Amino acid sequence: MGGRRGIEGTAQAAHYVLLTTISDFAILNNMLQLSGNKNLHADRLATLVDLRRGDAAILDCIDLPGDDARRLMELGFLPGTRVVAGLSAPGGDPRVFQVDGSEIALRRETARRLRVRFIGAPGTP
Amino acid sequence: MALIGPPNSGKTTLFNRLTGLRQKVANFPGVTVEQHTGIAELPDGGAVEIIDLPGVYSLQPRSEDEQVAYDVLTGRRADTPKPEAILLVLDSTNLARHLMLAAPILSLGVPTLVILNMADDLRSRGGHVDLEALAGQLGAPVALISARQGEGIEEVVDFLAASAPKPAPLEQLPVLHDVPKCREWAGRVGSQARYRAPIPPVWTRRLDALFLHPVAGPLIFLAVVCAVFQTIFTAAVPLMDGVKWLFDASGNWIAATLPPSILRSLLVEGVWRGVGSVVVFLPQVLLLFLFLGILEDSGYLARAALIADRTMAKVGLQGKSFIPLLSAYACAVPAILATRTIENKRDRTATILIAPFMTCSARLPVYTLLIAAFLPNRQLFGFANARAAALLGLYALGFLVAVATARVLKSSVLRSRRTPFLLEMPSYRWPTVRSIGLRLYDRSKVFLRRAGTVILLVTVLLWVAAHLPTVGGKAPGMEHSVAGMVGHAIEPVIKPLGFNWRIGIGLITSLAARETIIGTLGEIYGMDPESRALDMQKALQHDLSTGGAVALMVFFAFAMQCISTIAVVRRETGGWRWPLFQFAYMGVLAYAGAFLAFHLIP
Repeated sequence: MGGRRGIEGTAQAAHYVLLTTISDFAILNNMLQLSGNKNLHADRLATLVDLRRGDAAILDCIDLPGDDARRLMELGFLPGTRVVAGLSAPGGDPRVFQVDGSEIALRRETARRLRVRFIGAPGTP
Repeated sequence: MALIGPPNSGKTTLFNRLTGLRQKVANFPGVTVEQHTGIAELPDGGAVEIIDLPGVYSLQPRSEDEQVAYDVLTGRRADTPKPEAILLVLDSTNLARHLMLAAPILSLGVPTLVILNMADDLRSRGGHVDLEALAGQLGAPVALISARQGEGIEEVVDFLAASAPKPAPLEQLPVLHDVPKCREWAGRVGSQARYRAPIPPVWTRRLDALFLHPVAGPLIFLAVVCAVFQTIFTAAVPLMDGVKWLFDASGNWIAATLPPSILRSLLVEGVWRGVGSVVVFLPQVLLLFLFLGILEDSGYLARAALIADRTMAKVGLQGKSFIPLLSAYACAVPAILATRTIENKRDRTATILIAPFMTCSARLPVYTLLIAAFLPNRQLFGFANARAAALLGLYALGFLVAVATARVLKSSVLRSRRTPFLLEMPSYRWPTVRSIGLRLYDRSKVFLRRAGTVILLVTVLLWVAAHLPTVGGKAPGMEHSVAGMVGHAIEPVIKPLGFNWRIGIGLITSLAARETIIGTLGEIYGMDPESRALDMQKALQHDLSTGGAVALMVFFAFAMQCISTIAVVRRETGGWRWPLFQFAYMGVLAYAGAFLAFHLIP
C-alpha cells in the first residue's frame, strides 16, 4: 500500500475537517496505486459504458476529481465492488447501475470514467 | 434533537410522524438549505423540538447540505442550538452502506439513537439483523422501526423522553474521511450484527422493466405528462367554479348587508375581488401537487427524470429540472422551491430563471378573456377550434422561449463543468395518504400566504389610488384619480405597443400579480367583470385593436409579473442579482415581443 496519511483509531470530529483536502489526494493516490498494478494484466481496460443490460463487472478505479469520486463512492461505487448494468433511458443514456444494494443512474460521460474489469468474458452475469 | 440520515432513508416520514402538523419551514441564513423544525409531543405531556437535517451520506463538509448538518450537530451555528440528542435514521434494507454515516455521527459524542427504518421491507424481503449485537458494536441504542407503517415509533418517543447516555467510544473507528475504509468498517459492523441483506425488490425490477422499457417507457411518460395537463385544465375546472361561486355569493351577501360606505366598497371591490382572484387558483395548484406528490412518493418520478434527461441535456439542463418545470405550469413559486433537488448550482439557477416562462395558471384567465374578445369561435382547417389553437400557441410560445433562454444561459453565463449526474432510483412504494396530505397542506400554506398577501395588498392599493383624490367628498372618475394620472404618465411608453392609459394602469397592477389586471380593468371600465363579461369584452374591443390584444398577450407571456416569484427567486439564489436580471431580461423580451406583435398584426 502506498503512503497513507490519516489518523488511526480515535478520529475526533474536528480533525477531519482539516484533513479533508489532504486526504482527497491521499485517497486518489491510494486508489490509483491499488488499481494500477492489477490492470496491467490481460484483462482489457473497459469502462461502465461497455456494459450491456445484465452484464456484471468489478469496479477498478474512478477517473474523476476528488469530490466527484467521493460522491460516487458514498453511493456505493467503491473499487472492488460488483456492478451490474440495468435498464436505461431510450438510447442507453443515462443507464441504471445496481451497486451495493442500490440502483444509481449515471450518464454516459460519467460511466465512461469508471474503469471496470469483467468477470470472466463480457456478457456473462 | 436532530434527525439525520442518508437521502431515501425515510427520515422525513419519521419526522412527519413525530411532529405531524406542528412543523415549520424556514431557511438557514446565509445558505440555500431548508430548515425543517417541528414539535413532537411526548407521552408525559411534554414536548421536544426536532430539527430535520438535510439527507447526507457523510459529514464531510463539501456540499452546503453537509456543511450545515455538521455545523448544526457540533453547535457551530449561531442560530441553532446544539442538539441534545441525535436520531440517526438508516435504511435497514441498505444497512451495510448506510452504517457509514454512523461512524462520524457516533464520534460526535452526543446521545444517539440508531434507527433502522423500513422494517416492513426488511422482513418481507427476507432480511435480518441482530439488534443487540449491533447496539453492542455501536455503543448506542438501536431501534428497528417502520416509519411508514407506524411500527416501533414508541421506542423513538421513549428515547426522546428519557435523558439518554452518551454513546460509548467506538473501538476501531475508521478513518472518517476515507470512504473505502469507512465502508469496510460499516460492512464489518454489519456482519458482526449478523446482518443478512434482503433480496432485491422484485416488484421494483418488474415495474422498471415496464417504465423503462425502450418503447413503453417513453409512451407512459408522455401519458403521465398529458395527464398532468388534463388535471390542470379539465379536472380543476369544476372545483375552481365552486370557489368562484363561493366568493361571488359571499361578496354579494356583504354588499347586501352593509350600508353603502367606504368600508363596503373597500371590502367588496377591493379585498373580495382581490383575494378571490387568487384563491380561485388553489384547486389547480393543489391538484397538480397531489399528482406530483403521488408520482414522487411512489418512486416513479426518478424514472421520469431519467427518461427526460437526454432531452433536457440537449438544452443544457438535466432530467431533474423536468419536474420543477412541469410544476411551473401551475405556479412558478412552488416550482422554484422544487429545484432544490438539483445539486449542480448552475443547472439549478438556469432552471429557476426559465421557470416563469412556463405558462402558469395566472396567465390563463388573461389569455381566455382576450382570446374570447378578439377571436371568433370558429373552426380552423375543419377540425381544430381557433380559440383552443390560439391558447396552445401561447403555451408553445412560452415553452420555446424558455428552451431558447436555457440554451443561451447554459452556453454562456451559466456554463458549468459538468458535475456527474447521479440519480438514485428508490424502490417503488405505495404512497401514503398521510405524507401526501401533509405535503398538500404545506404547499397550500405557502401558496396562499405568498400569493394572498401580495395580491391583497395590490388590490387594496389600487382601490385607494382609484378613489383618490376625492372631489367634494365623492370619488373622482377613474381618469382624474391617482391611478389615472399614473396611467397617463406611462402612456407614451406603452403607446408603441398599442396600449392606452387604461391598459397602462392594468399593466402596473399586474406587475405585482398577473391576474390583478382583470379586476383592475373591470374597475376601470366601471363594471363588475364577473357578471357582465360581455360588456367587458366590448370595452376591451374599444380600447384595443386585434394587434394590441395579441401584443398584450405576448407581453403577458414574457414579462415577469409576480412579486411572489421575485421573492422566492431572491431567497433561493441568495441575492438580488439573479431576480433583478430575470426581471429586466423578461421585461425587455416582453416589450420587444409586444412591439413586434402590434406592428405585425393589423
